[in-house]
This record gives sequence, C-alpha cells and structure tokens, in this order.
Amino acid sequence: MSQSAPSLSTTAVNSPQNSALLTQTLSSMSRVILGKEETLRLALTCLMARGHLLIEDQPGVGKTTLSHLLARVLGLDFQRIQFTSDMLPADILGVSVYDQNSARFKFHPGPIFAQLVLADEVNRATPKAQSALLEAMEEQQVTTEGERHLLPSPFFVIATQNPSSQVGTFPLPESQLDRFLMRLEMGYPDQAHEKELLKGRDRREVLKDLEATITPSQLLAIQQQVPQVHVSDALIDYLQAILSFSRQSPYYLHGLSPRAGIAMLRCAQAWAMLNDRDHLLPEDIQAILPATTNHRLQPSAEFSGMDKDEAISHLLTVPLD
Amino acid sequence: MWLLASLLLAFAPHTLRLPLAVSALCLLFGLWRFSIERRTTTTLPHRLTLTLLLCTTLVIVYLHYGTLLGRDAGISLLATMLALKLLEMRSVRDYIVVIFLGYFLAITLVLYNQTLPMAAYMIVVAFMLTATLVNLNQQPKNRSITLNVKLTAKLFAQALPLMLILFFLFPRIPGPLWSLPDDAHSGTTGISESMSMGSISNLSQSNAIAFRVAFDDEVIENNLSYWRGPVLWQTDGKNWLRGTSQATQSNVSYRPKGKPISYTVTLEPHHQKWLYGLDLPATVPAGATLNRDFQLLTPSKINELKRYRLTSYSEYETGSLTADEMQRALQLPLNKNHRAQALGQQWRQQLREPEAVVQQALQYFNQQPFTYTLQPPLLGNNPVDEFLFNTQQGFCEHYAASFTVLMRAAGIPARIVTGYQGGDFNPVGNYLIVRQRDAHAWAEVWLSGKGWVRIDPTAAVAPERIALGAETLFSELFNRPSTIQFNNAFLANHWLKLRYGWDSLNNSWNQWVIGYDALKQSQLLSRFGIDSIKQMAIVMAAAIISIMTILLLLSTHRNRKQRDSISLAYQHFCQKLASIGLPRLPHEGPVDFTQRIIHARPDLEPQVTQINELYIALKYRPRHTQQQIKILQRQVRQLKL
Repeated sequence: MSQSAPSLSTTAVNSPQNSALLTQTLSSMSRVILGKEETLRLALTCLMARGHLLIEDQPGVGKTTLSHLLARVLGLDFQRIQFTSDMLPADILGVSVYDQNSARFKFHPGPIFAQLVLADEVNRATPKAQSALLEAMEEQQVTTEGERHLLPSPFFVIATQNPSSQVGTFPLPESQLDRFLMRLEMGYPDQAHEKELLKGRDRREVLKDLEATITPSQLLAIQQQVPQVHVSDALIDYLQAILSFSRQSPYYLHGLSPRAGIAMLRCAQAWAMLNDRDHLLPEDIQAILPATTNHRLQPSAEFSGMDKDEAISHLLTVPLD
Repeated sequence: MWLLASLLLAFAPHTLRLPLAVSALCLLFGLWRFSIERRTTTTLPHRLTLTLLLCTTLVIVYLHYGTLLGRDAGISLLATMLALKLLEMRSVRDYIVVIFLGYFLAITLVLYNQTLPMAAYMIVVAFMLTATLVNLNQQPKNRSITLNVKLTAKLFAQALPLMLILFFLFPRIPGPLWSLPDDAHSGTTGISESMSMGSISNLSQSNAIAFRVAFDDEVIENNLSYWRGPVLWQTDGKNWLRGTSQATQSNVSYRPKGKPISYTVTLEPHHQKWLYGLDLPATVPAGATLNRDFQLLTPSKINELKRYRLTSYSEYETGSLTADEMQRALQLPLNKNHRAQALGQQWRQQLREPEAVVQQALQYFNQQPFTYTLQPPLLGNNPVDEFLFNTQQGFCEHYAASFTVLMRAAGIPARIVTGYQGGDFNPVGNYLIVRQRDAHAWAEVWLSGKGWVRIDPTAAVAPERIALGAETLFSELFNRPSTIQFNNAFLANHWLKLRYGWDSLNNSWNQWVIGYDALKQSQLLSRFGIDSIKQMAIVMAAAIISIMTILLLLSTHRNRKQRDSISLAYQHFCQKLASIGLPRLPHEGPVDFTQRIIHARPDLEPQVTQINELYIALKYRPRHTQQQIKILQRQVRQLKL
C-alpha cells in the first residue's frame, strides 16, 4: 500500500540502551568482587526476573559485600537485618505504637521497608521470625493489625545462610526455600584473584567509590521487558522435559513444582536479555538450571549420599529434542 | 495505492445511480489523495477545509434528494464521507477504518442488484479490500504482491465453509430483514395499474425478465400463452384505469373445460400487489386471493423474488354479469372519440348479433392498412379516432383499447386485460422465460352463454406476434447481441445455446441462492431432523466450532511439519559432523555445539557459524520464512568436511 503507512511493530525487547546499562553494571560489580563473574551475572539475573536470592556459604566469602554492591550499583536503598535466635516478627516488619498526642496507634515500619533487604544468617532465627520475612517477600506487602502496608518497588531480598551443619541453626524448610528464585554459593576465590584481593584496597572502600549505573525506574522497566523475550515452542518442550524428568527420575524425593518451572523460564529469559538477545536458547535454560533448582530438589532415600552438584548434573543431561 | 484501487472498484457501480456532482466530488477527493501519495502535494488538508468540504457535500446531497435519510441519500453520504476520510488518513487506524467502510460500501451494492454477475463483482471487491488489509498488517512493509494475494486467497478459502454454514443455518426471517425506505423501489419497470396508449410499447423495449415458468407437463403453445395481470374497466377516452368495483369478493368461480395445466412461476420483484397466472387461474397460492376479474392479488407488494405453484385452465366458461359490472363494462366518455363510437353503433345496427360485430371489428383491423409497430406516432385528444382513421399504426394497447371502445359503442360489454403474452422457451433449463418486452394488452368481451371471451385484436393485425412472440417480430429493434446476424448457422446455434445456458444459470441462482428463504430453510433442515431455532443454533455453533478446530489443527500440523523440516536439516548437519568424530551430545545446545566444533575444527568456522545462526533463527526466534528453511537445507547439503 502507501509508503507513508506507519509501522505496527511493538516496543523492542532489549533495546541497545538496556544492554549497555547491564554491561556497565556488570563491569562495575566485577571490580569489587573478583573472579566471580558467573555468580554476579546470576545474581543480577535473579534481580531482573523479580526473584529473591538465597546465598549459602561459609562466613567471610563475600555474601554481605555482594548485597552492598548490588544496592550500590543499582541505586537502591538498603537495609540489613541480622537474624538472631531471639528475634520476633515485629523486629522485621515494624510495630504499631500508641501515640498519645493523636490518641491513635501509629505504625513504625520495620527494616524490611527498603528496596534491597539483606537478611543475614536467616537460619539463625526461629521459624516464626523466618516466616514473617518470607511472607513479606511473597506478598510484597506487610499486614499488621488489619492494616496493609505496601513494600517499596522494586523489592529484592538477599538472604544469606550458613551451611546447616553448623550448630544452633533452624534450617529453612523446603516449602520456604521454594520462595527463593535462586540459591547461589559464593565459593572460595581462586588463587590469582585471592592474591589481588589480599594486595588491593579494602573492598568496602572500593565500594564507596562506585556510582550507581542504573536507576530504580530503569530497573523496573527492564523487569517488565523480561517476560517479552521470545520463547519458542521447542524450548517450552525442552523445559517440560526437564520438569517431567525431575518428577519421574528415582534420584529426587519430589519433582520440581510448576512454580519452579515458571521460575526457571523467567530466569532464563532474564539471562537471555542479559546476554543481549531477544529470544531464548537452550543454553540459557542450562545456564540458570543449577542455581534455580539446587535448593528445590532433595535427593531421594536411595540416593541420599548423592552430592548436590551430581543431582543437578542429571537434569542437565535431559536430551534436547 | 491498493486501497484507492479497491475503493474505486467498490464505488464504480454506484456512479451510475449517484448524482453526477457526488460522483465527481468522490473522484476528486480520491485524486487528491492519490497526488498526496505520489508526493506531488505533500500535506493533508487542514481540519477547517475538511469541515467546509463536508458541509458542501451535505448540501449537495440534501439538494438532490431533499433528505439525508433513505437508501439513495444514505449511500451518497457514505460515499462522500468515505472519500473525505481519505483526506485525513494518518495513522494505521485510519487506514483500517477506511477499509472497513469500503466493505460497507460494497455491501450496499446488494441493495440495488442481487444478480449473479454482481455477486462475482463483489467477490472481486472484497478480495481487493482484504488484500489491502493483509498488506497493511504485514510486518516487513511492501512485501511482494503475490504473497499478499496468496494469503488473501487462503483467508477466503478458510472463510468459505463458515459462509456456507451461515448461509444454510443462520435463521432466516420471513419477509425482508429490514424495511427499506420507499425510494428503494422507484424507477422500476413492469405493468402498472393504468394504461394509456404508448405505455406498453415503452415497456417492450426492455429485456428485463418478468418471470420464469416451469411446467409440470408440456409447455403451453404460444398462442394460448396469455399471462393475466390487471383488468382495466374505466376510461376517460385516453387513459384506462381499473376503476372501483362494488362487487363483493365472493362467488368467484367459473366452469373450467379441457385439462388442467400445472406450473410453477418464479416472479421477479415488480413492486405491485398482484401475481401473474395463465389465463385463467383455478387455484390460489397461499396468501393470495382471486378477485372477480380473475386476477391474483396479494396483500403486500412483491418486493422480492416470489415462487408459487398454480393450476390453470385455458378453456373456460364464466358466469353472468352483475348489473354493476354490466354498467362498468359499457362505460364510455360522452364527448370523445365520436367517430369510433358512431362506427360501433353502426355495426351493431347492421349486424345485430354481438358475435358478428366482434368478427366485423377484427375484419376491419385485418383489412384496413393497419400496421403493428413499436414506435407509433403520438396521438392527441381523441386518440381512438386518430388511431382508427388516421395514423393506423399502433402497438397492442392501441388495438386493445380501440377494440374495446368499438365494442362498448356497439353495446357489447368489453374490458381490457393487461399482462404478458408468449415468452421464450429455454431448452437447457426446461422452462419458459417471460420478459418485459412480452408485455401485452388484449380485450375481453362478454357474450351471453359464453361469459367473458378473450379477443386479441393484435392477432388480427399481426398474427405472427401471437404465434412467435414479440422478439421475432421486432428483432431489428431489440438491439441485442442475440440478434447479431450470424452467417454461420453453426455459430448461431451455439450462441443461442450459450444464452439459454446463461439464463438457466441465473434461474438456478434465483431459485437456490436468492430464493433460499425461511420456508425453504425449514424444509431443508427438517429433512435432517432440525426443527426448532434452538436446534438450529446448536447445530450452527457446533459446525462453526468444528470447522475452526479443523482449521486450527491443520495449521498446527503445518507448523509441526515446518518444525520437522528444520529439525531434519539440523539432524543431517549433526550426522555429517558425527562422521568426522564430533557427535552432538543429546543435551547439547546449538551454541555450545558450535563452539565445540570450532574449537576442534577452526577451518569450519564460517560455514558452521552460518548454519548455527540460521538454525537458531528458525527454531528459537519468533518469525521465519519458508525461504530460510530452504537456505538452511542447502547450506547443510553444501557443507564440506
């Protein structure tokens, strides 16, 4: 028809600005935490997919630094909650106090009212305090005494956990673990990077020099574009094959839930976007598979001796097509 | 460009009916838009200009029709508004609005014409519009026209079963769906309730079909083929009218003789309240009545094709006359046509017997130099006198009228019957076609002991008109292709066959498509056990859903086939690499596999990267084309290891 007809195209997924922003963010981050490129990418992916992150590792490998780092480069306001065994839900959510002047109860928001919350050593607290946090994470809101208080947006929780073999902990039950989109392990740095770490400046000081590379509103826009990454039918088939393998194979106590399937898809889409693509590839699913499934799968009784990594490696062998 | 062309097509038939100014304006606006598209004029007109133009068109339409409502005015408005909309097309939404208005404009064509050629024409228009819509919605702009046309054809093919279901199953409403305004039926031809000398000869120039008749047994002979319409009694010496009868409608009977003739008539809409039947009808179709003139009357105007069965007797004897009828059958204006009246009285005195007077009159027509012509000279105030004694050139109504005047002057009750006579027999479809040019007028006289007797004075002048029909007699006048003089008899024969075949096709169209009404629908559906509207709706819904499902399944099947051909090509690729010791692991993704290949065989990098990119585009990206699959297949085939 006429040459003057305007185009009907939809808003482009993964515009050049987005990919530039994300690349810049990643490079800033890897200046602070050395040699952990993959972990940083996964943490950012988790954030882009609007999920919450669980980091499980020994103390002192940089869990807290990672949280500070994310808050810094993304320009989010940050709160840290140190979980202890005598903690009560009100210590997290906030409390209503009687105000004599107005003769009314007034809500004082707790530390959870921040865009990025670090829940440090979440397995030290009692299940009661833990579930207060997890419910707030799930609902994106806090309800006390019949009043609803919306949490800020974006809202992102990084919970850290010491390996449960240590003394005096309440490990999170599986149903609670399912609420975290990803579980990451930091691991020790390799020799070269550790050397750099030891020789260089204090990480906290490096952190202070960093500028925010993304604004919260840009982050929200990116989060909204993640589900628009194209997923072909062939990849849905592949994902379903993985899910049904987890449900049928003798290695696992329970299979992956539908929620786990959705979580994997979102993460894979965010991963594809982080890699500057508007479509999903099988490699994207494989890249996020360990981080999104290792806290959701328990080895069955017959295979109780099986290593976590080994358990996940079976999932990775599910044939493609 | 496509849009303008298809709109022009939708608009073209309307130009014949719309006022010249409106057509010209529409074309002007179209040209304007055309020049904008061509970049000769760059900007669209200002809003104020458009408002002024709108007011102008409103005034023009109002001046022409005296109203803004109704069919003709409404369509004029629609056409001009559509043309104006062309001048403010900016966004895609505007284009789409214009296209849908184009569909609407095309549909309005049906309000005038429902024939087979028009249906074919509308399919062309709809096809063009749909192709335009397809083009508008294509992602890569300006794709090749053939692709668009192919897609449109596919859409049409998919719509076809739905169309058939809706046609057969959608509940039909008896009578017209909506009542059209009165102007819908103006300017139509046909026999009317009055007659003046010259009115039928005008009609006789028309080739339009009046009705078609299918006989149960044999076709009736041409000289008995009189189709009865209005009966005219009253005259002022020039015009003939039906007059008012005081007789009640009861007691309509006659004594039939001979064997009955049964037949089915398919009457084209003539917008009058009567039906035509062979002289004389004995049965009455449902909803109609037979009056004392033996005319079949209907309660409402025949505005759509009507089909009815009748039985007639060509020999009959009607009963006596009432006093009122006697008086009306002898009525003559006192101060007109003196010579004719004197002649009639003279004959009666000489001959006494009414039968002898009738014979005398027929002889008079036969022996005097009367001629039968379609173009009789104009007659003045005493038309019968002028015709009988001066011009002596006339058409059937001249003979019928002057004969009736002569009879009444002689004291013999007489009246004029109008209707049709003759018709062409179509051997292909095995039915008789009666056209407007077969319109005829004849006389009836009442003779004691015989009742009304049909006398056709035209037969006395031009017997071949009655025996062979009007067409044969006036073939030079009917300037139609059929009368092209064929030197080759063989060709002529085939031409005739073609013509009859075409009419037979039209007849079937009328019978089965246009004539598919509530009655036929319920008859057809009850044969399949569908009796109520509810059942109809259920069957319709079920049929539509099943067709949608089938189409959906077909399309997913096709997708799967496409997916299969992509996978097959990739498998072929993997087999080739496995043969050089680089098998793809079952869970290995294409990118990982490519990297592994390149690591092992850096020399293969360009080809493998290309194949990988193509495969990813085909398999994991949203849109791809058949051509990309072909390229992938070719590249895999050409991969040399």
